Amino acid sequence: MDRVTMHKWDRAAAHFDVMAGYGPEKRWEPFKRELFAQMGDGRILFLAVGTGLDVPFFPPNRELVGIDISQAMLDKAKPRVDAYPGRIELHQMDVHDMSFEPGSFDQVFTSCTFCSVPDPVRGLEALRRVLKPGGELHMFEHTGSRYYPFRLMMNLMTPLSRLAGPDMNRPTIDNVAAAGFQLREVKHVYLDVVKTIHAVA
Amino acid sequence: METRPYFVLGDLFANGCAGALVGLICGLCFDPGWNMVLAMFAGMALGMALSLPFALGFGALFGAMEVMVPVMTTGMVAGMVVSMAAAMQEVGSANAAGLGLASGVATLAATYAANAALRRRSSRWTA
Repeated sequence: MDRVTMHKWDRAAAHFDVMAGYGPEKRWEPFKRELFAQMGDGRILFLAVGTGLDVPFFPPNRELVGIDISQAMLDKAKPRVDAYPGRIELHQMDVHDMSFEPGSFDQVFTSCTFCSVPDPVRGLEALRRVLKPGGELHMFEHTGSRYYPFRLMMNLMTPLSRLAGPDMNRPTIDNVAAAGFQLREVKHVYLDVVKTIHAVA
Repeated sequence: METRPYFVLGDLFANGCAGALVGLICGLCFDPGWNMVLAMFAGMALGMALSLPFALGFGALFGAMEVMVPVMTTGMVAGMVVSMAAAMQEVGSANAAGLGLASGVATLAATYAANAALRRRSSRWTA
């Protein structure tokens, strides 16, 4: 378990909903609902549950396993998880060291996760391992931008943002490909910064 | 393109406030004694630093990256424009704030246009 990352998100849990719970969630709700509507009937891994802000957007009656590196985040998520009309099993777990058997899941969903995973390619490789062959990876992520002045600004911001939470300039699409996934579709939600990514193992 | 009034008005308010404040402060910090190129770079850096609290504060209300990216860019543009103007000739406080506000609105409009164009380019990897 990466204790530095765990403690960072334990500290963030107390004020996470203040920063992320209203404006960002309201703004992204239609796009997240569209992404999560692709949750199928198989076994689903949801990576980085956080405080459970995304749970109300899940379609009902799905069977999910949710993990997060921070127990404080999972404690905050519990009321939202308990209110979900389906089944969500929570585990405190580091994506780099997941204890699931290879090929355990049909789908993996992430939401604003790989801006924060310390070794994103290794984390994505771990996701590919726990997916069945041909299993689907669906991501809602913010990344760096290809375009000036956004790229300059995000590169300058990242050393600051990293102290309290995520990186602003991750090349997540490249990381997905580097981890051995086959990219199927990338949809821009906001500029080329916020996007949904669909890939297969 | 974002069409929900709460977010459109929120974006306008956030960028207008950030631009006006950055303009006002840059108008006070720079004068015709400054080299214009030096003032431009210093104004950009100052503008970005000043707009950071706006990006974080308004982000909680109106959206994360959708606020942070244009507001920080507004800070950079307003800082650049006002500091260059102030290095060329005396700019009063009201004019500096107005120039900053106009920079904020123009930056937001450009960001909306860029967003519309980039969202049309999606699905490059569609198989």
